[in-house]
Amino acid sequence: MNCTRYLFALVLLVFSLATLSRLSWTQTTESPDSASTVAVGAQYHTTHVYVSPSDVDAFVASFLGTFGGKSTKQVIARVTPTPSKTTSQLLQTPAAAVRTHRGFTERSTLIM
Amino acid sequence: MRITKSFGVIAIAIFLSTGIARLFPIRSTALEFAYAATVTPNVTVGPQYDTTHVYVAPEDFDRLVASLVTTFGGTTSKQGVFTVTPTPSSTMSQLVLTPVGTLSVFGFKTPVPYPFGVERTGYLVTDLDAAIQAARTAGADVLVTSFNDPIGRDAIIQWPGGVNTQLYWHTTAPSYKALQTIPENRVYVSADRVAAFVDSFLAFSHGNVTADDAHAPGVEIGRPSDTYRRIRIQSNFGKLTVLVTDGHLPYPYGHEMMGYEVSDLAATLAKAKAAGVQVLVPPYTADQRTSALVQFPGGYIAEIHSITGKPN
Repeated sequence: MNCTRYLFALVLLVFSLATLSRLSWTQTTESPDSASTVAVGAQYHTTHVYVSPSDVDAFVASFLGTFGGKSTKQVIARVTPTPSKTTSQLLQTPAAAVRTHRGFTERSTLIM
Repeated sequence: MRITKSFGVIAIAIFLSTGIARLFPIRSTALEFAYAATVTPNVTVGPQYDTTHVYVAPEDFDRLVASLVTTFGGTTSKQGVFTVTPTPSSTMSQLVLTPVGTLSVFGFKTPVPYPFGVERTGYLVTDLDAAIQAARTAGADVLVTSFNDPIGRDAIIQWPGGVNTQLYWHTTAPSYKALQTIPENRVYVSADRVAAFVDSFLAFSHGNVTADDAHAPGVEIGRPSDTYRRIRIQSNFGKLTVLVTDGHLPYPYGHEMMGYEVSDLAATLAKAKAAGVQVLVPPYTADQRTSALVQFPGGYIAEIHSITGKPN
């Protein structure tokens, strides 16, 4: 009798430890909680286009000429965690939602 | 009653062992990798048959080939124009057989069909179908299923962690001289996928981990004040170095696919410069090596090193 109670206590202990640490066999299968989604909206999903600096303006003109829309002002920025330099602008068109656009300057300038 | 009790004990034992195993996941160590290998057939042939795939513009093709031979020595196969993809395309193709590694150079005269150009190396295998099956069993994806080329068959696989490798087989088995030094395939992977990558590659290559340094000198990835994890693997496919980084890599680290071992780095760099090779990272010494990063005409970026002390 004592033994049974001891075992029962052990089982309980294991289950509570397991549940606390969210082990898979203690969890029911659930679809992802809708409140926890990190998506914002399709218009914020940018296609990253890398072209050589000499082609930037021609690309921008051709893309806007094809789909319409507008471009943000072109800036020169660093968009990587390590040193580099690129031109950057955002193209917002009605058809292909949003496009960012980058023209990295020549590679040799990236080493500092 | 007795049966019920022993059943209960067994149940508890199972719960306990499962619970404990999951509560304390074993940390990834070289030891764990060594025991994780799945049993697959050994399809390796030899490191001289493991070619680095270099894609250049056709106008840079001859300059690149000449600069490789001037820098490293060796010979080339006859240049030809072939279809080496499963869908229509046309490329210049030539093999550069140097004493420090074999390169397969492509200069496409047509656009390059996807996903060709992303794979880093071609590994010769003894049996293509067995190799594809072994790769799948080891956890790789088959990105391009087997197809014929003019002299054999090929496929492209992807290891966990996003590393692409071509597997090839020739109708007539090739015969190349053994290499003087074995180059290292330099693979950059994330901390999230390194265990899966290493397990998978070891299972496929029948290789083993020869070094696993959790605090390798950061200068090797252009970050002198930091450290990173570096794993060295040896197999009959040659050497493979896994660089586990946070992806914050200064240019040109991560672009280099191979590290070539030469006996005298300074002499090799002198020959390289004369052949139009640009030194991107001048020589530095770390982990008993002096290393430099260079860019060959046409864009091919490589690491070159000499051993300065006893190798690990």
